[in-house]
Amino acid sequence: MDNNLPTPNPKILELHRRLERIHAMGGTDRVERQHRQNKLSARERIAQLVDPDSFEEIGAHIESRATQLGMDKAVAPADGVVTGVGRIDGRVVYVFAQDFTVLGGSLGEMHAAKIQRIQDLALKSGVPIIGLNDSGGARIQEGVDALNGYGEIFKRNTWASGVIPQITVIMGPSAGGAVYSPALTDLIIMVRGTGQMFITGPDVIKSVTGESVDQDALGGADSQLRKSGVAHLACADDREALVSVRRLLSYLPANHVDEPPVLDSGDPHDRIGWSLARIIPEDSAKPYDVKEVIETLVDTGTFFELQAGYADNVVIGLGRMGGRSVGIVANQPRVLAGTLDINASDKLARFVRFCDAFNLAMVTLVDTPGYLPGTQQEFGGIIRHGAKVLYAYAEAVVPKVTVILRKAYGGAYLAMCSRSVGADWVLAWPSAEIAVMGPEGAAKIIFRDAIGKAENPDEERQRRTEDYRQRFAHPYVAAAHGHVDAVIDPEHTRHHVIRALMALYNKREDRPSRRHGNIPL
Amino acid sequence: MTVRKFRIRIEDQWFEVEAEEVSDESSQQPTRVDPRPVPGPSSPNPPLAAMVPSKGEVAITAPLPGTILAINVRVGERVLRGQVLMILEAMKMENEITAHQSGEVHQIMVDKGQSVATGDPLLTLV
Repeated sequence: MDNNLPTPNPKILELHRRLERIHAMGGTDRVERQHRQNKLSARERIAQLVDPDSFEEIGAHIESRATQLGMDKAVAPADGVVTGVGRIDGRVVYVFAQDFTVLGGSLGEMHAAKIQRIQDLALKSGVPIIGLNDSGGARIQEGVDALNGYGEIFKRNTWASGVIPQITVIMGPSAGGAVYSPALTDLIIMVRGTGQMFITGPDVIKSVTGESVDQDALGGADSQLRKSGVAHLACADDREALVSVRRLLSYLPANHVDEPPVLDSGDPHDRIGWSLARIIPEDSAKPYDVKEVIETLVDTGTFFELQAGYADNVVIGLGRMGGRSVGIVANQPRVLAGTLDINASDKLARFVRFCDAFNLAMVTLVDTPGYLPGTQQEFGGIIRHGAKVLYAYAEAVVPKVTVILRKAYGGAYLAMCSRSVGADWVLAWPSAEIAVMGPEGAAKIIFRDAIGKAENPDEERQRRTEDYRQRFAHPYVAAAHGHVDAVIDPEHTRHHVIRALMALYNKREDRPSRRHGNIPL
Repeated sequence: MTVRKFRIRIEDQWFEVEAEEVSDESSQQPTRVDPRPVPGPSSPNPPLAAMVPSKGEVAITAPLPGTILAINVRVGERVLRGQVLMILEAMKMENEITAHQSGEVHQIMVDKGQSVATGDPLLTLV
């Protein structure tokens, strides 16, 4: 009757039949099991992550080549990982999503090769790569070839480091060697309840050390965020984690030579921070929450804190000022008196290097009494760790604006992006105390003889301390000597910082050419 | 090459142990361990014992070394997560020691004016 209807091309039908099988992943049962565990499937995750209909899959037909130990009979659509390219807010990103419904998302030779392929493409194209991890680990049946696959991925992670942003989301197990690819990336987001990372699991720990710990307490999102500092964010579920990736990327350039996107919210540059005049307590021994200062300074609602809950004596995060992305670092007087300790130093230094790699101007808010004293800190290598902060700031070539809010003493003052280690612009509040050490300590040393000989040493010490405080515990000596560029009214801090950032926007600075520096790790 | 004697408590049993410092030149003789329990102190040091939180209790410890400036709660008081329990003066700062979970104050192990080291238990919550 309808002789004009073309007969279906069997070869095209075959293609669609094959694609259908690949898109079904591990089958309805396994996908449903994934859903019951409050997890999306690999393909649903990608669909959530990228702009609608923007995903272009690469290597869908790839299969395992292994034949041993039953692998010849294994059905593994896409070899357990979906790879390709999509767009986020219109910008190109490469994505891989491990598929737990296919052989437990285990990493075999070809699975790894698919990831390597998009790592290579992302690096060549200069665009971010996002890994959605949900894998039982190395595919034991593929033995040393699976292991080799990890190594090839680690190598590419390292080569891409500082060239393109690499973001990992841990949405299921990630154990053993599998943790090291995430660890080599810039940012790790973990999903609470389902995401877990550890080198050795609870059973091995129990048999070796006798410690009893369950998987979540050992390597769950909150443990890796708060205890170890491995993760940068913990999210309630897959959706929240994927939205966080999109938000993170909105602050970042596509690569190290690109500029971060500018998104002007219309928040006036000269908006007055009314609360800032009163935020610092008159008594310099009283704490306050530096996050209130940050929130007031940045474009409204743009502060995105990272590693909150780990080494909270220093606050780090992304934000915008006048629409431009900035990295923000601040001492937190509410935690450990705002001292720098080993963990805070590591957190801070790595963040500064991240910002420097990706053209994020740095705003540093200083209120620290110094490095944290104690044998624990000294034996733990605070010298080595603290040095990272100095190194990172001195090495960074991005615009660096420092605002000294209150205490800035000794080595910690230098470390917190002082003029001498490379701040381009240093502002200070009238409450700033910039000195070699606090008045109590300084007076005790300088006037040791006078205090010792005094009739009432206690009174003399207090008198000398007060005298030192009057003469040095303010910003004007540093300002007189040019270590501070301006002492400003706290209410106008936002305007001053934005003006400094705008003035520095085209800053170019070079360091001596070399293979790489030798940061004290 | 000195042999030093240590007394070690494992659970409630005391053991006497001799340990010898091994240097490159010293003989590789194994350390002698006398596995027989020896009598421990008649009563364990009360404040130390009191410092060990029992099951269900959560200890709030000193985050840095300093002096207790104020204790804002009493035994038996209900506290909310984030509430300031004590002020610890350290690094010339009045550091707020807050409850990281809600609960009832079960024990207070320190007095006002007392010096504490990092990790010392300050109070317990149940």
